[in-house]
Amino acid sequence: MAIQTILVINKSGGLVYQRDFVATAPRLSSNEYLILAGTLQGIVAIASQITPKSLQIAGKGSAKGGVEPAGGAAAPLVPYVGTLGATTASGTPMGSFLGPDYFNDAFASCNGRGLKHVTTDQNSLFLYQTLTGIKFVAVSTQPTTNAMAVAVAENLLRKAYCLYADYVMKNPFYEPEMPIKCELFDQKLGVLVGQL
Amino acid sequence: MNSEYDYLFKLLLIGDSGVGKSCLLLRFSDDTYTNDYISTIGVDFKIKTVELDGKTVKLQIWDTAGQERFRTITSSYYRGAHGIIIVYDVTDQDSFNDVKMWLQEIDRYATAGVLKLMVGNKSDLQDKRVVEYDVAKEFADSLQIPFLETSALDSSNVEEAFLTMAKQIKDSMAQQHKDSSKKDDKANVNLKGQSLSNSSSGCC
Amino acid sequence: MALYSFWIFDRHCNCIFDREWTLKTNPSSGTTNSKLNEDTAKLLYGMVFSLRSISQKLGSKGSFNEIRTIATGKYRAHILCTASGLWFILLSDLGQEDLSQVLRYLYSEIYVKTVVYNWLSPVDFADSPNERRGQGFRKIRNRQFLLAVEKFLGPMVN
Repeated sequence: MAIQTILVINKSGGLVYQRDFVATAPRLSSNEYLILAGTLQGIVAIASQITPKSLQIAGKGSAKGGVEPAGGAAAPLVPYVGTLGATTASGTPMGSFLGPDYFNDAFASCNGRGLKHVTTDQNSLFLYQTLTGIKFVAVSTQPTTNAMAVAVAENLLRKAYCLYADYVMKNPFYEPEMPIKCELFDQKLGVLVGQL
Repeated sequence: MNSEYDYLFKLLLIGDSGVGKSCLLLRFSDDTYTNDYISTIGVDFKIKTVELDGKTVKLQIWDTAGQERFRTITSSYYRGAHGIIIVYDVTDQDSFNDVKMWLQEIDRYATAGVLKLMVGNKSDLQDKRVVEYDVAKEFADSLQIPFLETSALDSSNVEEAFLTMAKQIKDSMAQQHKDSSKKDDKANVNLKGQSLSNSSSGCC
Repeated sequence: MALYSFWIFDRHCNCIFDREWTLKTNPSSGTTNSKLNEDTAKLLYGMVFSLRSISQKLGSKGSFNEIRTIATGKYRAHILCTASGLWFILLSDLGQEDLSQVLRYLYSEIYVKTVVYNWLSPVDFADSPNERRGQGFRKIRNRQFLLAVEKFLGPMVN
C-alpha cells in the first residue's frame, strides 16, 4: 500500500496543502481539489450528525446528564507505530524534538464522532483531525479496512501534523490558514512518506 | 504541488432559500458548471481566481442552502469565513425580514471582525418589488454594512463588490502584520531583565 | 457484533426502506419505515452522494470507483451500489470491517426475490421518472421482504 496523495485542510475547510506521491495519481485541477476539501469539511460535520440512535441512547446511559465527552470515553487509543519517521536515513532527527521520535505512546483520537476513514474500490481515504480543527488527509492506492493499516495511517498523519507544527507554524513567513509553501515541510514530509 | 495560489479566502453566501443566491455568481466563477452538492450536504462551491498586488488569490465561495434542515450543518460552515454576503429577494418581504435572523447567525457562528455585504436580488422585476431600495439602504446603513441591489441579468456590480471585498481582506491581513510588528516595537521587551528585581519584591 | 440500521435508497434519491434498531439487546426493537423523510435519511444520502463524487475523482480515469465503507469515530457505514442505481446501506459498530457479503445477500437473495420478482410491487418507487431529491413517499411494504430482512439481520443486531 502506497500513499497517493496527502492533503492538509485548515479549520475552515480551505485546502492549504496538496501533494501527490505517486505518478499514477489522478491529475485534478487546483479548483477541483479545493471543492473536494470543502466537501470533506461538510461530510465530517454530517457524519457526526447521523450517529445511530442506539449509540446515542447508550451514550446517554453511561455519561450522566447525556453530555458526551469530546473524545468519547470508551474510544480505544490508537497504537503507536514505532518504525515510522523516527529519524531520517542519515540519522538526523526529523524535527526539533530532542527525543528519538515525536511521540512514543498510544494516543487518543481528537476526532471522536467525525469522519475518519473511507474505502472505495480503488482507494482508502484516512482523515486525522487535530484538536484545533486542522485535517490531515491521506489517500492510499489500495483499499483496506484492516485495523492495523488504519493505525499506521493515523500515526503517519499525526507525524505529518508534528512536521507541520515544526516546519510550518515555526516559519516566520507563513501566514496562518493560508496555503503552505515551506520547502522544509515538503522535504520532511517526503522522507516520512518514503519510509512507508 | 499546490503552489498555484498564494492566498485562499473563504466567502460565505447566505440567505433564505429561493432568493437566487446560486445564480448570482454563475458567470463570476472560474468553472461554469455547477455541482449538485447543495441539495445533499447544504453547500456548493464556486471558485474565482484573481490577481491582487501580484499575488494569486483564490476566492472560494461557499454557497449555502437556506433550508431549515441544513441549519445545524450550515452553521459549521461559518467557521473561518473572511467575508459573508447576505442575500434577499426584493420581491419577497419575508426574505428581507429574515436578514435580521441571518445577521444573528453571523454573530453567533462567525469570526467577530468578518466583512459583511447585503445584496437585494432580482431588482429587474420592478413591478413585483415589495422591498424599497431606500428602506433597505437605511437598514444597511444603520448597521454599517455595504449594500447593493442586483439581478441575474446584470450582476456585474456584485462581482465588483466581491473583488473589493477580496482586496479589503488582503489589506486587513497586511494591516494585522503591521500592527503586530508595531506592537513588538512598543512593548519594549526588557532583555536585560532589570525590572525583575523591582517587581519580585513580594515574591519570596 | 452490532448492527444499528439498514437503509435502501432508489435512484431518485428517495429512501424506500429503513430499519433502525434502538436497543442492542433486543433485535425486535426500533422502527421500520418511519424515517424515510427525516433528516437522518437525507443526511446519510448526502454523505454517501458527495463521497461517491469524491471517490470518482480520486480513482483512475475510465473505471468505476464505488464507495464501500465509511468509518467515523463511532460507527461504520457499509455501502452497496447496485447496477440499477439502488443503494443498500448498513450501519454497524467499528468492529465490522467488511459487510459487503451481507449486503450482497440482502440484495440478491432478499430484495430481488421478494421485491423484484413480485408482480405487484412497482418497477420504480417514484411517481414520475423525473422525480428527484427525496420527495417520494412510496416505500417497500412487502411483508415477505420485511420478514426476510428481520430473519436475516435479527441475529446480527447483537
